[in-house]
Amino acid sequence: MPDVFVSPSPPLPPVVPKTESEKSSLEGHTHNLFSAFYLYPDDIDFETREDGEKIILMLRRHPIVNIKWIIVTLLLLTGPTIFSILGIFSLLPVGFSLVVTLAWYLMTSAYALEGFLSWYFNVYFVTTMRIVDINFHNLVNKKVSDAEVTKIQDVSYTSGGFLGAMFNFGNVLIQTAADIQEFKFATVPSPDKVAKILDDFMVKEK
Amino acid sequence: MGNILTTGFNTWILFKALALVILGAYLVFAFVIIRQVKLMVNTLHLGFEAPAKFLSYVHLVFALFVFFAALIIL
Repeated sequence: MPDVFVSPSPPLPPVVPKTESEKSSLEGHTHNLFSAFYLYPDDIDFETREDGEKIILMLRRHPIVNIKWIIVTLLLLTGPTIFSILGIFSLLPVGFSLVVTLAWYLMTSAYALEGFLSWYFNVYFVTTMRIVDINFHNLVNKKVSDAEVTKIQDVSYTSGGFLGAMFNFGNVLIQTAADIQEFKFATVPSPDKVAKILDDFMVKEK
Repeated sequence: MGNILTTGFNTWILFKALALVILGAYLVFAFVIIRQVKLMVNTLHLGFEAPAKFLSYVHLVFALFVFFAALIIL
């Protein structure tokens, strides 16, 4: 007789896995440097982590969000060639066209570097004690927001749009009773799974 | 009194000065990127610290190269 309902396997094991073999059996545990979803990550740490605080989940925006700066960079790389074809460089003295080309590539490289760093270093953590949002905005500012897990009141997620449905990413919204009342894990992969992990965690803590 | 054109003043000198000022300001920006990367790698240990620092220094070297190229070529 076919099963009418099969309970989905819980996203988190009942106890925190300690060995690599236990962790590697979990879906989402990875050592890929450029992943956006790390379950029980190894060799990852953050400045304000307390003694005994263990990282359960680390997230960053889905890699597909990088497509914008990658396409813009590729278009910018064609700039000097287009200037040359249009004859703009022929209006300038010889040395100027070379310097303009070099400066153009320099600024393009800065744009690409900023795009990558912004994606790579803006991350979210779920630890055994807190949720943490580490955000670097403009060039020298960073914002670290956190809330204790016990203060989480509600977790919801949204996943929509063509790209969101196709690549399975969305926003996870977390209401808390902490100073910051709402956390948003923006455009993270598998938002349903993240919300389930947080829900399970809330139940365990209560 | 002669104006810029009749005195034979080379207007490209002005453009050279402007280019050097802009590229000089860009050098400051390149240093800011290095500072930003330091801030990032001190805050987070994600396994990509050394390459991130390396990229920021490569960018600074490139900025210095363009500045000196402008100084010499223009």
